[in-house]
Amino acid sequence: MKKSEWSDKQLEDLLSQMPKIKDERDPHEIYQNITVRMNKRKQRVWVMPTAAAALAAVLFFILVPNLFNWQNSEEQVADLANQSKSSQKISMKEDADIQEAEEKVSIEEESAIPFTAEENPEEQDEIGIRSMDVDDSATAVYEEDIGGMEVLTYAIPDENAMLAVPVSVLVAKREDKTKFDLFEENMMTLNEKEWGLKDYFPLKAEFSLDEQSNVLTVDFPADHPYRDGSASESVFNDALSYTLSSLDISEIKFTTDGKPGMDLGNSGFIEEFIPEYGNHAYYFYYPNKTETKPYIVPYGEQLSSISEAFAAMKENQDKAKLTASIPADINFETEVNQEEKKLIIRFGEGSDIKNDQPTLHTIEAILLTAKDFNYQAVKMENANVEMVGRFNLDNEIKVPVAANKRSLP
Amino acid sequence: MDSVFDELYRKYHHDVFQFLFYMVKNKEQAEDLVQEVYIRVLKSYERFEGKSSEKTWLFSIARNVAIDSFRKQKGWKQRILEKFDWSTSQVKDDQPIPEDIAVQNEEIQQIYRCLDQCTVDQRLVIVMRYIHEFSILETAEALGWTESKVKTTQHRALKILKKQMEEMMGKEGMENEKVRMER
Repeated sequence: MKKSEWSDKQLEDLLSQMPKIKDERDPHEIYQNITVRMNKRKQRVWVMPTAAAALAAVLFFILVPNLFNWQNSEEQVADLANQSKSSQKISMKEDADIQEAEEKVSIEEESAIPFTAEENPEEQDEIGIRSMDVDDSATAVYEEDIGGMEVLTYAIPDENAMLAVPVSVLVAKREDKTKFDLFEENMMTLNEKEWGLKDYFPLKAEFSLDEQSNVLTVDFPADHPYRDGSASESVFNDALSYTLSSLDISEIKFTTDGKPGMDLGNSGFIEEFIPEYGNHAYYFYYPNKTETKPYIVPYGEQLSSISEAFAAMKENQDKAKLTASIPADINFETEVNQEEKKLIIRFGEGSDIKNDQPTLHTIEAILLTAKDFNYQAVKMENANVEMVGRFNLDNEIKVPVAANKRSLP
Repeated sequence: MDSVFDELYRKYHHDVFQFLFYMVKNKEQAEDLVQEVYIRVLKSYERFEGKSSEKTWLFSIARNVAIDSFRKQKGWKQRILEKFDWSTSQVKDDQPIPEDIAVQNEEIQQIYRCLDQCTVDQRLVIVMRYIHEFSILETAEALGWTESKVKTTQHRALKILKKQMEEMMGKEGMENEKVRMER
């Protein structure tokens, strides 16, 4: 039998005879390959953490706002707990809010708190946010808000040119400029579109003011756009009236290309214009349905008494898409103190005055109307709450300086 | 060129390359892997403390590179299949024999093929101990093993090689005049 047998030694010898294998490449080539691969690896090393960091940043931005909401709601819960002494007030707020929710006046909710409403349906949260809203959702400019600024009021037509909405902006006073200069200057910067109104200013006209006589000369180009259609004409009158009323102008002279007079379509040829202001009723105007704050807008004929105006304010003005500014369930008597230019409003039985946003706006409409009828202050009596938003009903309330505050860009 | 690379190349390049070649049995792959060895070395050269000799340190890196390449070669599929596959021991050598080996005598070719039958550990020991003529101590250092582990692995490896060589010779009906010799 010839079976081969191998010893360790034989195997070892055989293995040591294994051929030497050589790398035939040039060392430079190898070195180059190495450096290329090392650099590549460095890039890879760099890419992953960057991607991770980017992802983390995205997550951060998604999560953080939610986190803040939770914190807010917690704080508010704490606040509510702290205020347990004044719990009467809170429960009234709550009542107001619940009732509101029932009435589904959801316009306000939708735009004011677009996602918290969905994500945190907890009532606590909403109460917090809502009552904050009431506090600063006043629309007009009040004396204490001005702080040394100049108030400019521009009356801007709505998109359908059915009415003129007075909008007030605050601008810094300048020693070298008169109010009229500021008025002319800022006419350029108005954001009418953003405010849901018609792009109207600057007017296509030249203004010059004779400061002695307070007579304003408005010079139109021959092809001015203010004569097409009666609607735009009447709104032009209103716009001019409201705008100029805040500038204390007594008379306006129209010229066209320097020649006296101006062709105003149906109204014919006009040389002079005496602004009609005062004695209007104020209504709510919502430029689009999602708006929470209304514009509070004067509309209609001049009225002979303020009670007439208040009566009118309970009716919607459908033609101009205006909403009644005094709800049907609020009744009051008015008493006039002509000498002190004060108005006293005594709420009747069953008038439920709540500390909420609609009531606040109703009060503002009343104040603005009072201002239009030349009153200086209003005292409200018989209300079942002490505070409505910023107003303390125990005290006399001064009428606003101007309506519909907006800020310039 | 980097001075570290230059020095290592001069001293050890062909050794390391040959070691990798006998481990993976493929020249192109060995070329790739030797580059990988340099990359790892250059990155960690500062950390080389001189505890072991430069040579064994370099070989320990080469060994890690070789083992990593085996792991990479076997995809996850193969690794799963392996769990169920009872015939894994019959690893087939589908690679053609490289030229350097093919020109050698029959016995060398035989033993080259038989290397496949060893486990990776056994092959490491065989290549280091007999082809590179490392001492037991050097092998232990390069592999990070104890000397006795090197010895037992070497013993088992030789046993397998012996068995395989005998089988192969028998199968191919080779006449072998060699008579039994003492171990």
